[in-house]
Amino acid sequence: MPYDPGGDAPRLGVGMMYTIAADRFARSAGSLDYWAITPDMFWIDGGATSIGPRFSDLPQWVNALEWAHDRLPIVAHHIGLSIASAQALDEAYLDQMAAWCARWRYPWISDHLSFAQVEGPTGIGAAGIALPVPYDIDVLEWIADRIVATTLRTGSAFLLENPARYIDYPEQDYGEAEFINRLCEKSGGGLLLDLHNLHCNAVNHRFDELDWLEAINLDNVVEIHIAGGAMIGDIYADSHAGACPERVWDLLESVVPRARNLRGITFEFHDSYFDKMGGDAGIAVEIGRARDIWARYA
Amino acid sequence: MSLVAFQTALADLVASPTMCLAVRDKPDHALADYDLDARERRRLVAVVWQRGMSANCTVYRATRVTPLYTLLPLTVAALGEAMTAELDDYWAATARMDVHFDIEISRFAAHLRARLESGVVRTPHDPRTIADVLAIEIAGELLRLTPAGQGPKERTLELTHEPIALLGAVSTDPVDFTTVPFGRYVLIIRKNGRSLQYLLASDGR
Repeated sequence: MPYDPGGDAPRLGVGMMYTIAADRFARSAGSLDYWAITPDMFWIDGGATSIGPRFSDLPQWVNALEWAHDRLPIVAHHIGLSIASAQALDEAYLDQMAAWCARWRYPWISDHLSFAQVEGPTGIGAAGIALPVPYDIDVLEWIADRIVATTLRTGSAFLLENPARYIDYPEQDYGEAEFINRLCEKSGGGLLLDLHNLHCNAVNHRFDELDWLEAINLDNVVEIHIAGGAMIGDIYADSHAGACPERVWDLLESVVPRARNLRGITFEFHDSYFDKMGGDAGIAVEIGRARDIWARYA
Repeated sequence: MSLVAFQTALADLVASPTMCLAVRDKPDHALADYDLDARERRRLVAVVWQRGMSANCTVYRATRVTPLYTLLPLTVAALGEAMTAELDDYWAATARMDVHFDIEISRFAAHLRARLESGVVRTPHDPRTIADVLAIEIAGELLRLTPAGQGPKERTLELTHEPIALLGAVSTDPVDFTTVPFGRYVLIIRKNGRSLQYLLASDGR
């Protein structure tokens, strides 16, 4: 049987990363095939030292999930796991992930190939930014073990997202594509291919995205992210600043026909760009373009 | 594990452009406190020269100011131009952000309160006016952020300025506290569903 890291997850189509700003669009009939959510936005995490229950629902957000739960599939994209951190996994956070996997029945969950939690003078704290890891043999072993542990705990297919990297480490054991290929193979996890992150890296580190895509194992791709960005000084940033650039659409056209295990394409944008990108109508244009590609190739 | 030290050092660099410059200038000295192997040290010395490191520092600062500017806008207004120096001082003292906004603004409030009491905040205003604005704002936000059914539903504050006039003054541009009555005031902030009620229990006499 051909390898498929998506397991028994269904083919979904085109979705959007849910935001409160786009709630009306997200709930309109036929607008989306699924919702992607960042679960960390839907709960309050009181932290390891909290006196009462550490996690509590945010009612306004969870109400939206309850609405969607009866109507659409929901997939989860975490920002609080910090899968590539050098510390022990946060057991309480894993428990919360597992509880929400059971509660919302996600077809898959995902996190970023980066670390956002680090040691500080008073214990583990937030780095304030997701930072890349060196692509080394020992780092690969470390992250693979954590993916396996997360998969076992949650019982869900697990995807790792290729990061936007603004810095580049010298003397790495692997190039990025080889590191990701090996990591997927060793951990059994799939790839959430973020084409905008790839585009950012190509612009900032001056390489051709198509070369990178030739080196990556597209059989690992279960979900694709598309988004827009903006310049910060002389760096092109993954700021989710509205419509996707044409280059991202070109890359999507290139990848979708070749990613045979692909289940969904997710459009991401930041709340603060909602008006600038034309509100609901602007989102509909992006979703429509993605659906056209999905319909032709997927 | 060396990876712990590497990640800690990189996060510290992202949080401190000053440290980035120090690593450029005297890398062995600036990285002496981290248990790094030779390759990790060479990597950090390399990245501080990359233009992407400035972007990382910018993203870090933008992320870190977000809860303060979003949840404590009146305190930010009261501090005015002093805010930049206060941010630098706060971040130097607490390099790790807490992603829980209630904890992050509480830590900032405690840090600022101590500096206001010790008179080191460079502001043209009476530090007690800023302390009162901070006290009202942080108490309200913490009540609002507390999940339903958990924690107190009410806070009682002792202030040195009449709170209604104070909040009016800090909402003007430019901020002018000169006409705000001074005295002993007791303000009760009560959570009622999703809204907050402000009750003046003592009128300054």
